[in-house]
Amino acid sequence: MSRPRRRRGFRRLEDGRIALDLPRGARELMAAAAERLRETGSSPGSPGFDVLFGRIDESAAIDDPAYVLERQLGVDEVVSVVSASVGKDVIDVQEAEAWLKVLGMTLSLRAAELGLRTEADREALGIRDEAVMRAVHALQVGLLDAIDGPGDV
Amino acid sequence: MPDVTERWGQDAAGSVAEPYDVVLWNDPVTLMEVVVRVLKKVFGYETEKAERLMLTAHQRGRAVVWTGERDRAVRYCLELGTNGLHSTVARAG
Repeated sequence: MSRPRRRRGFRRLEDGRIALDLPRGARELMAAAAERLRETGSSPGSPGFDVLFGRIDESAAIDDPAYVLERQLGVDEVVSVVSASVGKDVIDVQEAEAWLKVLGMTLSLRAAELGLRTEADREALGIRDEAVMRAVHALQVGLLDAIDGPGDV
Repeated sequence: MPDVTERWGQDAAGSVAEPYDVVLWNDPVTLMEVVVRVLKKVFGYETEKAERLMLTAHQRGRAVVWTGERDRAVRYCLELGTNGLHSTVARAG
């Protein structure tokens, strides 16, 4: 688990919604993350699919298909919310929570793809991958500050 | 020793249901404050407890974040996963 770098791009308004002041690259990153999750969710058997929808119960031979379906629906839901809100100037808290979930799953997926298992593994990351991780972290911290912080009141 | 946070109960027939752990696994990319926030939100834990569990996972590689009835354990696991946290359920013990 990592420590954050502070950056803003989100501002909570008096009505509780969150104003977005993001560079285009950040929006593109969000849109790409959502799309990537959507693609991964529809590719059973792929390594990414196994990361997102891997075994739940270590002590069962296979997971209950109902749980697997529930998991996929949960991912689909937040991906849809992000895709529909990524171009907005103001989002509500539910949309912001979906953004956080997509960012969290994106990090998890990327870490698995890069074979990152320990903090030491991160030191071997290339500049581009490290930059993407930092960008995702910055978005997460900005969202957390906006959702949980004192707000613009 | 895992932090057993909830004791198991009885099923509808009155027999003692076998307890399951929700195991949170460390990963090197998720921000500590994100982990703490998710644990607070999903389980309703106070900040201090969520931080302690996060640090246990960070330092030992895994932490038992909840113990109880299997179906609830699976649902917690699903919710953690949708938040980007890797967790599994396993028979307690």
